[in-house]
Amino acid sequence: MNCRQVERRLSEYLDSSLDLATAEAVANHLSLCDHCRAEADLLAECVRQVAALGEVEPPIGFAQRVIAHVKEIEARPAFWDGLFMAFKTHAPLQATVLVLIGMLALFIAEQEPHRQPFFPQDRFALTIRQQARPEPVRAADEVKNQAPGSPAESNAAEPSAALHPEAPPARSHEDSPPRRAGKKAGAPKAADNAAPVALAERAPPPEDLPSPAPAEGVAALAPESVPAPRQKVTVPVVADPSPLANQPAAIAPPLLPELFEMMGIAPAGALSSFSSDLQRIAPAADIEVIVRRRPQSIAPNVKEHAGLQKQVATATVPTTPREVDRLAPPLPLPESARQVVWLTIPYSHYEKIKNKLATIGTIESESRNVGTEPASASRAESSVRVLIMILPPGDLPLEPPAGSLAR
Amino acid sequence: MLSAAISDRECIERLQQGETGAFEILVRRHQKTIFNLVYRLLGDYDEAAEIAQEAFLSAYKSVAQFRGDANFSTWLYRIAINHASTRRKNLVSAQQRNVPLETTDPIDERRPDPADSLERKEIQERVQKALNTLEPNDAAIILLRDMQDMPYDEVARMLELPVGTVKSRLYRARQALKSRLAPYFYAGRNGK
Repeated sequence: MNCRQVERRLSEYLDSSLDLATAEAVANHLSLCDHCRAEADLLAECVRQVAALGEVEPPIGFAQRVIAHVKEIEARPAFWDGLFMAFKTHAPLQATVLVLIGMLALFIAEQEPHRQPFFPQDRFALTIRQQARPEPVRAADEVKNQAPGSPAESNAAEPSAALHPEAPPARSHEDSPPRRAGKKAGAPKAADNAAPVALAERAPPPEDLPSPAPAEGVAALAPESVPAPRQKVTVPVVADPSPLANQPAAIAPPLLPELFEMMGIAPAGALSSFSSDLQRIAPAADIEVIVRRRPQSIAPNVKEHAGLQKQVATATVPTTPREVDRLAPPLPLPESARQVVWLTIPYSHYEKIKNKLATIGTIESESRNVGTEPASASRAESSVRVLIMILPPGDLPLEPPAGSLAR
Repeated sequence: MLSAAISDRECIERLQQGETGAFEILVRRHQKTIFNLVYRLLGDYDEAAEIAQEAFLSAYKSVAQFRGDANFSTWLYRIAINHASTRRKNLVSAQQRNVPLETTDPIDERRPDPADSLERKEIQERVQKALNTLEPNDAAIILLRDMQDMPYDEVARMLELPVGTVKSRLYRARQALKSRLAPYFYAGRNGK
């Protein structure tokens, strides 16, 4: 065994952990080699000095301090306990439950994109956005609509569904071929003024695209959409409580021109603030009726309003229930409210509507476009656009809305 | 009231059942050895008190995970060594606390008899400084084997190393310690 081998075994040799033969070999080498013996002595001295390091006492009260910390840890709530501390009291629990319910409702609403918007103005906004898309996009949508059951098809029917929740969306597709045919036949309307020209510029008819008929709201927009076998109530009642209130604050301002363009509604007070472009492109009415409401005809409260609805619904004039619903204000309106109603209905229904209007108030004027009168029985089912302005009792005559025959 | 005569294992069982008082017995039983080990690893009394306390608190928080397949003392030593090693690395990085032994004051050959208590204290300081210059694991293995007189297998379990690795590491650690203390010891011998 050489010095290097002995040096590597010195540590174990000092610990007496070598086997007997190796320990004897190391001992023999150390007895012969002074260098290795000096190294062994030095290493043994180090081990001895480390072992001789005196013990020190821990600080006084060390154990008590440790135990005190342990008790402090015991008293302190754990992380999860602290996190859910709110659930130990009632008020935060209720608030948390409410927040969770709200989040769940939002989540459900997000999961159903085709769900009807809850608020009426949201319906309008949704309709406007879909209607106000640029025409190339609309044309592309119509190409997509050729595929039955495609999502685009359901989207195309959605505006009418938004306006008429009770009307099944498939109805507009059933109606589309005759309306389309009527358009191609080029049945000229007497109200061929600047409005259809402007609309035509905005919406070039995709003649080469066999698109389904636009939704009902679009049908109301297009002045040339004459043949409609079923009645179309294109726009619900628009309340106009006062001229100043005609600034429609509930609807986003940038959408207002589009809204009125689409609906063909132009409340007098609001119209004055619109641009001339809007007035130029507003569709024209075939028949315009101005009704002055009788003082007792519109109840100022809900109870009387409900009674009016009942009275109208049970009238002897044979009108369809939906017409009656549309004629009656959807919400209780103050007597001073002014209403503008646009209807696209078969001409044969007009007289029924007119009789019903007579029960509400006095028909002050009735204007008809040239050529509105049906020349034959076949044209009795042709659609006419009726503008009904219901004025409050004692209301001053106001500037007629865009599309009015008096304009 | 718990008796101080109960074993570590029984204390652990009671502690795991929620009897906090059992931990006090363990603290009082092991505080001196743990404190001395930490003190020798760190070389600072106050630091040792803080780290030893942290080690006990860590053991208390982790006692639910103690499986009992090793001695509690072995498990507690391991925790203490880990805490001390971490603390020592932080201290070394924070300040140059390790003074090279070569730069310390030269040995005064006119010192009094080495048997003198003052001389003895000086030797201990030299040894402590030499230990502080070693790697934490090397210092720990020397302290466990030479100061605590633990057998190889116990040291191996404590450091979670094979016994052969413990032997080789102990050899290297002792050689490193010898190289640091050799000048002083040679000078002492020459001075005698």
